[in-house]
Amino acid sequence: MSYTSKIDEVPPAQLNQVVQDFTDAGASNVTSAKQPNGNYAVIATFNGTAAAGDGTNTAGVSTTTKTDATAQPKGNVAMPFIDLLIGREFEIDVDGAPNAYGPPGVGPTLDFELNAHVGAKSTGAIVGYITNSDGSKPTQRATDPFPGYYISSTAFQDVANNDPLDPNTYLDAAKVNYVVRGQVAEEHGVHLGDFIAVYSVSNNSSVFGIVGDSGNSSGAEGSLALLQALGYPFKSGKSGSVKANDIIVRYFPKSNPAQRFFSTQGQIDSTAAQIGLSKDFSVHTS
Amino acid sequence: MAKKSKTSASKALRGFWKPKGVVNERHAKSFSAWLEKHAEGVDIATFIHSTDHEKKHAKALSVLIK
Repeated sequence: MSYTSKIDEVPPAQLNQVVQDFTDAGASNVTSAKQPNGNYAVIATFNGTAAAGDGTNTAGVSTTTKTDATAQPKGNVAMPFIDLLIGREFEIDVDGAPNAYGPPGVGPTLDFELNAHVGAKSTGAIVGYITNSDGSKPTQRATDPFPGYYISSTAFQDVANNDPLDPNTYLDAAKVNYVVRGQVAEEHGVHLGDFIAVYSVSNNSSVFGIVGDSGNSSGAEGSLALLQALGYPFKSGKSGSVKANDIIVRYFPKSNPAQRFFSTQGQIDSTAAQIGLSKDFSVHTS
Repeated sequence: MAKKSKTSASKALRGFWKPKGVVNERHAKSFSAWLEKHAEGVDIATFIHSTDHEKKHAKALSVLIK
């Protein structure tokens, strides 16, 4: 039996202790969220039977993500946030890039067509690019960025663009930093389009982005542009991933209530700065 | 809504489970066994930190810490 435990009003000075206690008690996920009064809510998920509390994580293999202890970052941060240390390999997402997928022979693509299917199986539904109701696969027009390629899509879209066959309706994974919204983020009220900050432990670098796609409940997946911006040497989605426990995603729930669409990373960076978000992760490194 | 318990019993129970901040495995097993019987098997951290379980803290202390 799985269950979730939530403790409100945890003072900042006791946050690390409470998070550590839940981890030691065998929680598979422990998240923390800053509350308006400056205290924190700590939410722990236990899978299987209740933990023995002997320091062993009884959830074990089913663990997908794990949070690090969260404390208030330096800087002027008025908006609540949730930090998640991704406890599994972080995958590359190229969905939304106009050259992500294409018919055989069309030219180089950023990913294998198989990866556009659920489960990366040919029998899985196609979710990485647009298909018609009859199963046909429309391709980009002569005026589009990559004529003849499939029209790759993301869950977060420009609602002001009424043309679903326009590649500009979707986030370009090669140009915009985004992550896939996982179950933990969803449970904490994170919406598509909300702002994020992402930190690379091994590269000691951080960038802003948004929650841009869905379809991976672990949340351990981000755009090619995101990983490149963090300093990883990936060139496409065809191979490679970031090792476990190397990525921390800071979610700012409900930070984009108007669901504003961003075509460029510059727009995301400037807006994040304007509303006072922080990508300072020194609290995790000091 | 469960809040962070601030009682001395909560601190004492945590000290029993994690003396000097490290889990004592023998204490953890007896604590878990007691929780299984008397607190529907809730995990130790929730029991210690949640105000929902404060009423049982004194009983746990009297049994576990002799």
